[in-house]
Amino acid sequence: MEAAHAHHGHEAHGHHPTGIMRWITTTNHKDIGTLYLLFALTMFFVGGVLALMLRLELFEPGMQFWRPEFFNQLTTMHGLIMVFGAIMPAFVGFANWQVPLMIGAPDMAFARMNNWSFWLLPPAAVLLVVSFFVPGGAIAAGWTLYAPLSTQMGPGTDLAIFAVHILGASSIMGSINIITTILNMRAPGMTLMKMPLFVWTWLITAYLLIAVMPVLAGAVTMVLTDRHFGTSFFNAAGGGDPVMFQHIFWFFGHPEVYIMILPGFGIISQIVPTFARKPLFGYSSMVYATASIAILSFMVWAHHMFTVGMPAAAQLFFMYATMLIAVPTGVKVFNWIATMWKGSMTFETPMLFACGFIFVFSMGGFTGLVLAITPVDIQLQDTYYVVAHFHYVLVAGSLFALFGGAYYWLPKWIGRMYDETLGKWHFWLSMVFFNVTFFPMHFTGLAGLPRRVPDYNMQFADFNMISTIGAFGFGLSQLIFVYLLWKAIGGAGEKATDKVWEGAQGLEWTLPSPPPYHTFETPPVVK
Amino acid sequence: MISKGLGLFAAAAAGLAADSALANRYNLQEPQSIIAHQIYDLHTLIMWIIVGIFVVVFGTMTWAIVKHRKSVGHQAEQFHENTTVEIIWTIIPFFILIGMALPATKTVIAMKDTSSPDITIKATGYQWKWGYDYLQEGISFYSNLSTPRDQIDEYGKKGAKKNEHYLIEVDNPVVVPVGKKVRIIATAADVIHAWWVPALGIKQDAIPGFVRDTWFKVDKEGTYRGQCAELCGKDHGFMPIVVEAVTPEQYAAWVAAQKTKMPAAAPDPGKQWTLDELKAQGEKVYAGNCVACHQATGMGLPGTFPALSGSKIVTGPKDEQIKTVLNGVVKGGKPTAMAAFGKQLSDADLAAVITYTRNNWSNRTGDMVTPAEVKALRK
Amino acid sequence: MECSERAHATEFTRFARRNNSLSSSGRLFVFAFLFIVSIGIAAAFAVIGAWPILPFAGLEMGVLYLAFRVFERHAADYERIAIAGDRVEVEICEAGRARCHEFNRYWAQVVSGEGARLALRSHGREVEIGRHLNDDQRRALARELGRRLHGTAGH
Repeated sequence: MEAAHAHHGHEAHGHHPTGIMRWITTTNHKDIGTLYLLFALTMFFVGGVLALMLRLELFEPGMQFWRPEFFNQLTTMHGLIMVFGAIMPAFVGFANWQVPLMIGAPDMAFARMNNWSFWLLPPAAVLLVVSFFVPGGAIAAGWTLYAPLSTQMGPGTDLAIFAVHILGASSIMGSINIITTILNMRAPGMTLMKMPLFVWTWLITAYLLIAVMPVLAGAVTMVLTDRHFGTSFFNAAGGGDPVMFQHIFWFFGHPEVYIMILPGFGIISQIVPTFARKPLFGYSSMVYATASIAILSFMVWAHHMFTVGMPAAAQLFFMYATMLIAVPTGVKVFNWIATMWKGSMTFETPMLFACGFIFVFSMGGFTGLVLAITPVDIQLQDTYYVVAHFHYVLVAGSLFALFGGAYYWLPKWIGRMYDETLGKWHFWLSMVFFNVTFFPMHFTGLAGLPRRVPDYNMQFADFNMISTIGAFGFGLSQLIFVYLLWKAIGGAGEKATDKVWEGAQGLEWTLPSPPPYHTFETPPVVK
Repeated sequence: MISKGLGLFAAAAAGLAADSALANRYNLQEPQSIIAHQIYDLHTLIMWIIVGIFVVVFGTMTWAIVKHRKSVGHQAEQFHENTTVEIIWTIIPFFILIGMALPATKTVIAMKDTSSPDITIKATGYQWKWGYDYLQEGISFYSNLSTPRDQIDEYGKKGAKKNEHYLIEVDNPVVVPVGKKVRIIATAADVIHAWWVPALGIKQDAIPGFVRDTWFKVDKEGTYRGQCAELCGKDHGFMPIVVEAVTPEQYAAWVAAQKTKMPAAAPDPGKQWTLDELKAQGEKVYAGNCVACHQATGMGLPGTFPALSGSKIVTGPKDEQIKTVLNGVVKGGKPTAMAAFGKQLSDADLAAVITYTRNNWSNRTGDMVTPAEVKALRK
Repeated sequence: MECSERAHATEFTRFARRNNSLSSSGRLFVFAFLFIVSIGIAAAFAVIGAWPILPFAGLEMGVLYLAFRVFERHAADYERIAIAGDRVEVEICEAGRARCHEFNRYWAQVVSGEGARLALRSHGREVEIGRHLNDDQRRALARELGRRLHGTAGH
């Protein structure tokens, strides 16, 4: 009995289940991180195929491939899958792998809950994909699910709402886990202001998630009850207000935008100092800037809905608040460049993605500034200019940061170097094709092409053709990444050292590559 | 890239004639109203500010990337903070933002001033067409996409040659006089739409159950084209907006013509229709109002829009179908995609289209629905 | 707490606490902050008619409360090793429950397991010790105990 007690809580040592059961039952943060990342990569390709199907229809004027209603399903599902299936789980995957390693904790605070939050994702993804095959097809109201359009559609909408509930529950559990881990389980000496910036950005992101996820859950629930239970939250005929849905959705949606970019800022803030061989410039101002962005994100939601016809005072308030975000965002960019300044830089793939991130993300920031100006936004709202803008911040922002992080920590995770030449090809092709795809959208948007339309006038034909070519190039370039991963995990590369990168700083680099299954079971001491 | 884009746009703006609002391919459309001018100038101002910031920031970054790299033997310095610099680059953007906010604020206030209009037009969004009511003049009409389907549909075949204004042309454009303040009241019958004419600098969401307004004053005569700008379902991409700006004299003549045309356009209520006449008229009405959902085949779209061919309602008692078309379908207290056509179509057109559906495809009821029967069931 | 009464007159005591980077009051502050923000947002929406957000926020706060509660219960975990006369006492407190393990000083053995794991063993009973210590401290503890028990280090 005493012996049993002595081993209490340590059954995972030495003998854990093997095969598929290992992955289903695992409570190890590294296993769960891997699962999240593989899931996100899969969904990235699913969402990518949907995007290519869209671009195929938009290759030239006229309807050649899809019926308009199916086209709308494609745009909606592309958005939902990329946001909730690819970008968010990918960042949670990074948090799972890296947060315990970076703060010197043995695992996440609630290992069992961590397992649940991952295993909620695949059923939700299945629901989303299956909804294409129910009568009426998948939801076609856009990822923003605007009522009353979303209350009008077929059963695919109910599946999507259910999926969003599940994904929301997963996110909430994930963020509670992350916030508890970061606050309670830091190694002695790891004070808040010594935490790596990736950990800081995730702490703030988890706070945003906890604050806004119930809002999303409530919003989709109200759509559901409006659809089936006779309520009239968003139905004007029953005394409801369709605009209230937009207020609620964007109160969630704008912080959501930062949920998808802040951990990316964190990753870039780890990569740049490593390859500049120089400490991060302005660490504390980076922390304050992140916090300011998070606070401001609750005050700008209505800039997504300037055209609903708000009073002038409201339009002005939201315009000023939105413009203010440029200040902390600018501080971040300046700090990264100051970190590079007078460094001793090398340009391995993670650094290429980081530089690419700073460059293209800033372009998205610039167009964000244009869109912040209410009168200009009213002209550009719901045009391809907006499509260009948010793909600059989400693809070139979040996605490039994710790729940068993947190349940066991959050797640590698997203990092997990846193929640097392939990595560089992956970066350069992605960078070029990304701009070929999305840069022309600025022009079509300015000239008056609305978004979410399946067909267009001939004046937009050439730019759309360029975009489609770019999109296929971009999609195919991502296969390089899969091949590179396959090779590296197969053990083709040379063995990675513990430190991996010459300029790397931080607790994760003190561990062997790959790290043992259990790390930091007793906390290291941070000086 | 932005500067290259700007160069292209400058060349394009200089080179293209001003009479076509769609000529500009790299920038906002040629502005045709006071507000549109202000928006255009604001956008240009901000673009130049951005170009300036771009050059400074990425000039510095490029310099660092070229000069401060290990391969040219640069040693890393270890500085990691400088309070002065950090304060400076927090404050300078602040002042730049104020410089942008001031002119923008003026425009926001000007845009919102819908007081004392010369003409008020109510624009109602339907899935998927626009309805217009000139409130003082008492003119009402619907505005449908006029691009023929054979130019649009190219599924497995080559479509017909596309018009110049493919997808941005309508049967009944909105006609307004130049130099007069036109107030647009936007609302919708089903879901949210948005009434958008880029060259006039206005975009206003049309929200079911709510009324929002905006205004414009057109500088010069011309045809200005826009589209619905809020995803509103299947044919969101196929409900354009065309505004024709004419001289006040031409406008007065148009109003007079519309007023005489409107009663004339409605068929003589006392007319006695034959079955074939009704079917022929019904086919036209169907093509204008029903085909988008129920399809030319009458088969609808499974799961979304029900089939009419073989439908219980269409082949059942006449009264049920007449009521359905007149009042629309309401489920759980809420209107569905099947709108109430009672207010949109005349008794004769309703009778015609119902007769048509009862005697087309697999439906062979042989029934004839007369305008009088429709009139009797109107509430 | 049966051990502590007899824990006087010891010749050797080693006390180790669980690593906590956030104090109890810190946890309370964080919870209060998140609670006010989340419930505040949901309440504001409820006022304008969107009450279904409130139950979700409440549910979320419930989960957060449980999570913090579980953590709080383990926050006071400690381990105390005392040698008094011919007895070795190991007191392990987990989630507010203290257990006492008594060993005979001359029979007990210090064994080091996989990694830098450490345990006391006697008559087939084994109790893991030094769980709240880092590797260096645990090695020092092993040496110290080994010296005090038998005059040799454990194997």
